[in-house]
Amino acid sequence: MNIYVNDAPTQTESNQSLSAFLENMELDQTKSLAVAVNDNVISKSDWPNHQLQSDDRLLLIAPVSGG
Amino acid sequence: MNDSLNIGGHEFQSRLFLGTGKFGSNQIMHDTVVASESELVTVALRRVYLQEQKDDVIAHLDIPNVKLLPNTSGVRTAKEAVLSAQLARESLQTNLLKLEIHPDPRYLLPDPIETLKATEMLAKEDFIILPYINADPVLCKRLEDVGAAAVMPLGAPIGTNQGLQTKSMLEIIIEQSNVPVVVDAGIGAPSHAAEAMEMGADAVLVNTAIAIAGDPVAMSDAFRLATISGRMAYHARIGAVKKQAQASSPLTAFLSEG
Repeated sequence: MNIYVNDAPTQTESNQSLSAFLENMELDQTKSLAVAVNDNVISKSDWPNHQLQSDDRLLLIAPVSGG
Repeated sequence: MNDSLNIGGHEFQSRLFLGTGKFGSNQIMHDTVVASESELVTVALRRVYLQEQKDDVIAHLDIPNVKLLPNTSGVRTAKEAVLSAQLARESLQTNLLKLEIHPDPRYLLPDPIETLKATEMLAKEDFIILPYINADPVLCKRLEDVGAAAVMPLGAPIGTNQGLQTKSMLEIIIEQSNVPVVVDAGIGAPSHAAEAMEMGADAVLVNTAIAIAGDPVAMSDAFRLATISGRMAYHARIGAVKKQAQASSPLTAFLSEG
C-alpha cells in the first residue's frame, strides 16, 4: 500500500503496525523520535498497536539544534 | 538572597537562556552551555529523513540542571504550531514550549495574531508557553490573559545582533507584565544583555551572538557575567538620568580661597 512519509509517497506492506514500519525503516532507534499520523500524535507506547492504513500521512520529527 | 526565576513551576538560578543553533560543532555547543551555566536551552524540531546523518544534539545537551525548551520554528499558523507543540512534547517529554510563528523569511518577525490564537489553544493543553513576539505591550498583556507563562519580546530581528532597538517598548512591557519577561532576539553583545537586565527583564535568551563569536565558550562566560551584573544593578537601583551636572566632589575652593 501507499503511505506518505513527510509528504513523500512510500510503498510499504499492508497490515503493518507503526512500530513495524519504523523498524523496517531503521528509524525505531532514532532518539526522541515523535510521530504524527494524519496530524494526530501517536505516543511511543501506542506504536505497536497502531495499524497503518493506506494513504496515511506520517510526520516524523526529531530535535535538532536551534534558537 | 534567593533570586531564582520561576516560569510555570520551573525554577531557574541562571537568567541567561541559550539557543543552540549555529554552533560550529555539537561539542562546542555543549562546552558553551556548560560555561554559560544556563539552565534552559532551546532546540528546534525537524523532519526525520531516511538515511540521513543523525544529529545527536540531545546527547550533547544531557547536562545536569539543563532543561530543554523546544521551539516551534518552521510553522506558519496557529494550527501548525499546535501540532508542532504536541510533537515536541512527545519527543522531549516536556511541557515547556517556545512558541514562535514567523512566516516571513526575510525578517523572521513573529505573527502576533497566530501567536495569540496558538497560545490560547495550547494553554488548554497544559503547555508552559513562552511566546516569541514583537515588543508590543498590548499583545504581551493579551498573551498573559490567555495563559502564557512568560513573554519573550524581541530586542531586534533574530540573528541581527542589533541590541535593544525596541527599548522603550520593552520598558513598558516590563512595567506592566505579571509574568516573567525574557528578552529574546537581537541581543548581540554582553552589554545588551546587561542593559536588558538593568531595565528589569527577568531573563535574556541569546544564541547567535554566542554561537558565531570567535570563541563561543569565552563569549558565553562573558554573557553569564553580564546577565548577573545587570540583575545586580537592577536590584541595587540605578540612579536617575539628569541633564544638568551635579558635582561628585566638594565645590569649595581649594587652592585659591582667601
